[in-house]
Amino acid sequence: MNIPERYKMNMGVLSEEDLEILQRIEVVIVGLGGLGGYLVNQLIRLGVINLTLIDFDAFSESNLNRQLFSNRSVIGKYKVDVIYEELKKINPNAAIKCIKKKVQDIKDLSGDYIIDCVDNIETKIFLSKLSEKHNILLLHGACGGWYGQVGWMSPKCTLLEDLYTGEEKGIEKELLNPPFIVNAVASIMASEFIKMIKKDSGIVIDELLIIDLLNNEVVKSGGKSR
Amino acid sequence: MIKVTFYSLFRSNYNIEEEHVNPGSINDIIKQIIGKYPQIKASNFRYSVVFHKGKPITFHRFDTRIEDGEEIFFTQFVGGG
Repeated sequence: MNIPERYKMNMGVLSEEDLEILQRIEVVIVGLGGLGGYLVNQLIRLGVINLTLIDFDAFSESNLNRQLFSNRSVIGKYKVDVIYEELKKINPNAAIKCIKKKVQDIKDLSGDYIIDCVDNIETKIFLSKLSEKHNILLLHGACGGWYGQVGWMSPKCTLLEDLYTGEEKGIEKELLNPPFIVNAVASIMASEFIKMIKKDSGIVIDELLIIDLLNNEVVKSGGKSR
Repeated sequence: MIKVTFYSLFRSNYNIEEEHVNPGSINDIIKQIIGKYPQIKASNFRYSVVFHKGKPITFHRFDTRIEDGEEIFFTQFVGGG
């Protein structure tokens, strides 16, 4: 395989086979705000070219603190439209599908992986159930304040339902969402995504990586420090 | 005794890392912890999650009993994006 110049700096951690997989798979990203913006930016630069972007919302002024593709000129514009244009500037050959709907209202959804970048618990639970319904792996990410959590969920895993059912908000209700945690969690999601492609043994699956930037600690929900 | 480890906000705000408490429900354990550390606000447990054998237990199920010799840890859950 002739590695395109744009990917050469990735090839220290990616094999040619990994890159071929990245270019073949279809990735569905739900939520194009904080986590979704940073994550999709990394995925396209890593080599993912088949993307479905799902978000019903438009950029607002309160997004400017943390959402990578937000700026004053795009306030009021749909996030998927803005991000589509930005991703096309990075890779014009990417096949990007945009859906301006709530994910709950989408009838047909297909892809190899679903990525949870949404900012509300109800939809996170929905995505977990959707993963089971379509038998697709789900990469979960969430953040608030100094804290974050990341993990792959296999279709039968109920960890997110167990964690979130009966809840409306996590600690982000009090600590809100500064930019550094969003960027950090999205980057960890990107690295977990690559580990999944590589079938790496260090992958976090059916448990959570719990991230604490204030104490600089990362722990797995199974209790093992990393 | 039960080994209780603290992460995230408890560690940040109160500088507690580990405690050993008597068996009981998670609510009982919280009472013991607040007894030892009265500076901890009970409200800090509202967005906390206990991981017990890798399974999450949140506020609504803090009546779950933890048996002698078991280990749990407290952290906070997040839902933002």
